[in-house]
Amino acid sequence: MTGMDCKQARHLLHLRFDRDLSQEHSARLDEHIAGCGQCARLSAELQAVEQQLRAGLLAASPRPGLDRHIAGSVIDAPVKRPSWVTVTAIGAITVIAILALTNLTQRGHHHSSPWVVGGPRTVSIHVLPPGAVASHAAQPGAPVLPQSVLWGTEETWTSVAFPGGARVQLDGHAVAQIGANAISLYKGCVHVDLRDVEAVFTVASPWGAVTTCDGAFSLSITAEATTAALQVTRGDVCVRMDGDETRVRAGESVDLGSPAMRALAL
Amino acid sequence: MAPRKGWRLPGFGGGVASYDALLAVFAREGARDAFEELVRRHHAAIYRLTVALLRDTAEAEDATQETFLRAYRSLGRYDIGRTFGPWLRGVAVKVCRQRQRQLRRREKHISELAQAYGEATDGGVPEVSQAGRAALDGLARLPDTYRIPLALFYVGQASVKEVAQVLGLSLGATRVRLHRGREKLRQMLSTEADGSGDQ
Repeated sequence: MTGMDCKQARHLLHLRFDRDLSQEHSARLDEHIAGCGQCARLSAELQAVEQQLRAGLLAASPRPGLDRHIAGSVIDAPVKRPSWVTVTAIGAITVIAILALTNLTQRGHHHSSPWVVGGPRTVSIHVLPPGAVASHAAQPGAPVLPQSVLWGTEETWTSVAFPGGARVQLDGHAVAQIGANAISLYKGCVHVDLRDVEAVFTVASPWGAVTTCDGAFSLSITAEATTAALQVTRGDVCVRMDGDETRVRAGESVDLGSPAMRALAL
Repeated sequence: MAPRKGWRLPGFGGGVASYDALLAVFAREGARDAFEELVRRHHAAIYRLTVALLRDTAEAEDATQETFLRAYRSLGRYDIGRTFGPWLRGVAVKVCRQRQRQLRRREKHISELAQAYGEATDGGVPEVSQAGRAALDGLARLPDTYRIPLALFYVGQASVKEVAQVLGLSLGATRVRLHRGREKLRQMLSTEADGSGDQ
């Protein structure tokens, strides 16, 4: 006997279909079902409902090309022109905001971050044009701007020079955010070589942060951002993740890949 | 090592962003291909959700397009601390509710609405197995209170927490709706199965 009545079992059954039932409760529920025909029948029926519903929903696949049609029509859709009242109101608000911001800046230090929730937008975007090489953010000779984002679209490599002398190469599929002697790589490939450079350089990624002070390495993240590989060609690098540190030496390759998390491959 | 849901970047102020959130930031800054990638990643789930809620493929296509249009125009208000998928599904639910209201306004009585649903689905319902179709028909007959949480839960394998976030409900209230909805659907389908077995 499990000490569980059918009412409790019914509740736990639904929690199981909510994917919210603990292993302990699951085992107790199975024990009850094994000895109760009514609950066993209910479980089977709910299972069938779920399977049928999934089958029905999965069969509803969008027609091929719907995504392209939607993206095109949405981006090119005409935007409603605001009335003069709206324009005046926006103008007034902008003036007030500029005055307030100027006042704030004059009062003291104000640090902005690109990822402050609900904060100011400080991320600048540069879509690299076809053939963009040996330049930073498609502007040859321009200084590295902290917090700028590179969005590669072509089969070319882009070289980014940092104030400390570090130079990194990003492939045409790279999506990366540039910091001071640091890059956050979201996908694509980055090659870092710190030969004759006195700097510590970090590449942050969903798998952790890779840091070196004298080495050379490549970090590649697949197009779907599901797997990553690290290859060290000179010196050694330190891989940090959730407080754990691993040292990878010259000539070693590490496959960081594993099944994608839902957040990265919905 | 598995990638984490979001990550912190040294020297960037300590915030956390997901890949979708990053795409959304790119898109709102005008990167066309970033928005195209968001559409590619999410259009199938949104389409399935709108099919489940509207029961008509033509209506669902329009609703999917409208969802992305609204999302595109609302990207400036999108909070990158939130997961993009549930946020987008929330937009889709609002679009579907509005479309249903428009449909209802055209009908004089609830019974006529049900009839209109039936007529509309005849031409545009996706090709599904008999069992799958029965489940989708059953889902369509449920009231919004149960139909929307169930559709959200089963499209894209959302968690109860995500459904609760999309609908602005507590976890307990969401569970109750899922349980009752599932129970009603079970009763509906088993009655139909018994009926067809008797014939």
